[in-house]
Amino acid sequence: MKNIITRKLIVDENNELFDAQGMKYIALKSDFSRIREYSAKILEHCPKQFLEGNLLEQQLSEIIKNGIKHGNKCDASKTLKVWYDLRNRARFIIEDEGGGFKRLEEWNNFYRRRQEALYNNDFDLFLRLAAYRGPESDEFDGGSSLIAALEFWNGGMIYNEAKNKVGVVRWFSNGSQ
Amino acid sequence: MEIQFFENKMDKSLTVKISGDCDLYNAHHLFNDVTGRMNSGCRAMYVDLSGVPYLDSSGVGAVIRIIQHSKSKKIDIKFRGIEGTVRKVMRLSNILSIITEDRQ
Repeated sequence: MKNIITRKLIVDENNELFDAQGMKYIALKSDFSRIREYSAKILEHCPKQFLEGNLLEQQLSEIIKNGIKHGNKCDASKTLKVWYDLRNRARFIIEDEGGGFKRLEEWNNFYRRRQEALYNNDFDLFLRLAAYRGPESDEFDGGSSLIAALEFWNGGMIYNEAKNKVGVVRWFSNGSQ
Repeated sequence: MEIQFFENKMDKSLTVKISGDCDLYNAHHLFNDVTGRMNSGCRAMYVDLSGVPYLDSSGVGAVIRIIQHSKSKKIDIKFRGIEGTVRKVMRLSNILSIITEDRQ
């Protein structure tokens, strides 16, 4: 018998993932054209076994993109704050200056319906639900960055109450997944 | 990112070979170029991703929209060369189940 898996984005202001003690810090300008450059800079001294090819860079770029594009609306006067710790695991806290991910519960519902369609082998519905569109989404937003993020950040992905700050961690067994 | 098209006049299929990173800065080119060729008419399309070392959520979004467009145009679409990190990203994004792979 198959089991349906529905992960969720979680809000928990007091979660330990927001404890930045001992973490490195960098403040980034909200420059959309530099997102991948920012990720590469942060991961400059990352242990090679954590990189998983370019997967860690790709996943870090996604949460930086969410902060710059959706949070700070690419407003150059706004800063994206990034705390990171690459000792023993890859851990990040990213905070933008925007109004927060207000449609977090709506996204959770979208993801649950998408997973149910997959569980029921309803591929037409699954394809129709393949992309999430909020009122502020553009044609290149599809919510798939969050779907992948929920899978990738295996130690947790937690939002603060204002939903403008996210803490993530990926643990590695034997140096890599 | 470079996109090349190879036409097979015998079976009226089109092979799309993509090389280079497919990311937030260029995924819209992938969607526009590929669906533009779909609109010009073909029965089947093969999308070869073996030359793509980096795919992000914008690239995944472009792939999803290309599949949706092929359905609306009743074009049979198959993908080749989904390997390495690109395969991992597609698996994490949970879209491998809607992709038909042509394993040559």
